[in-house]
Amino acid sequence: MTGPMRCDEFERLVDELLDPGGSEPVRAAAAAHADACAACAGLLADLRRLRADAARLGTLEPARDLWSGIAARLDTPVIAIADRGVEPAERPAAAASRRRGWWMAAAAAGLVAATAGVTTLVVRGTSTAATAGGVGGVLASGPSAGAPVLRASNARGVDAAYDSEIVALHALVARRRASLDPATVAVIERNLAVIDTAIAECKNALARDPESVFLKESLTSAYDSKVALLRTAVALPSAE
Amino acid sequence: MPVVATIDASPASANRGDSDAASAAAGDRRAFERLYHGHVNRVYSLCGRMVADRTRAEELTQDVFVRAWEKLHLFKGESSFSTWLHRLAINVVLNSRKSTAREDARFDDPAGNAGLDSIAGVVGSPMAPGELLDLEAAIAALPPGARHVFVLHDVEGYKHEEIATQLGVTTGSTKAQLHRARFLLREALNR
Repeated sequence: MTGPMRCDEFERLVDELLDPGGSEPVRAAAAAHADACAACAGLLADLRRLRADAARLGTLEPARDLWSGIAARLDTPVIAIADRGVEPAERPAAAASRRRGWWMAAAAAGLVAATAGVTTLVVRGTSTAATAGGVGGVLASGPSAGAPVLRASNARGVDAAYDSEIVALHALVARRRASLDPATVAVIERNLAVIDTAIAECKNALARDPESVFLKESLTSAYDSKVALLRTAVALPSAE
Repeated sequence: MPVVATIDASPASANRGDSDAASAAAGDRRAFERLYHGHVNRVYSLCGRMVADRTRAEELTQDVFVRAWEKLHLFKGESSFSTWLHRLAINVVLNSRKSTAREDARFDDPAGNAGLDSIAGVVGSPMAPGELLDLEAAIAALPPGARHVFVLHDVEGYKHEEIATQLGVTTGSTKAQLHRARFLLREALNR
């Protein structure tokens, strides 16, 4: 910088005097200018006061309790289903994290398991071992693979076991709907519709063949997919 | 009437917070709720001042704590829980895109009442109420880019290098935004 600092230069460089660091020669020149110029000294004083006031701002308090909404999102209700291997109602955060990251995979795997396998079998109206074996690989990749099977005697028993949780989860998702990204909501709804179709087809098949263990397992698997998808939807962050 | 939770920055409080963080990471919901009550005002303050919209700030605050619950297993205690949570909150706010439309609409508010409802409930400030409200309202009326940098630098005390990293811009850009914010605020407050 050559010669004394002008006012326009001072305005441009005044932050050098407000914040630590910066060029020492520039700071010295700006300080010298402020000493000699009342207008720029006033500007500097205003900005120093502004900076000090900003650092002294208090905390803001939410006008309403936010915990209940957070708790609802953490508190995806879990029913105790005997022999299903359901985890306790309060899961560690790590499990919640796994759920979130897993949701798309769960939905996709659920769809494959619930539709590609189950629907094919149901439409064919058979539950023979040979046919089931043909889709065994597909079912094994689904979200309920390896999980203990629900010991329900019929479709109504399976319904009853899942109903309360699904109703509660649907209510939570409905409450959060407006805060979720519309594209995400659309994906969730499409996946739910496919899973619901698979559930309905399973039930129809079970009505014809109520003793089929395979169909009961398939129905349980489809319900597992639905619950997993709903739980994930509840835990999703608001739209980004 | 919500309970007013103040930040207790004492070492004992920090230890208790970190202990609660460890318990919460192991799935202890009561510990997590204690963490929430201890930090909600600070998180809400950040969200409120960054987005200048009360409803959006409430949503983001809830998102921050849901995200914190999900990510607690990643908290290794290398910094205090408060620091970790605050950085998480900044990430959540900056990743938020939904607020853009609301903010844009708000700046067209001819009445000049932009964001005023976001500053209700200020606690713990030594400033006179009138000055405090004027400054809060002026910050809320800043353009988003300038407001984000001003809040992070002059209110929250982050350095330009940290802010630039968080925002994914250069320090030259954050310095320019800060300069702009300060001059706009001065003009607004001297009106």
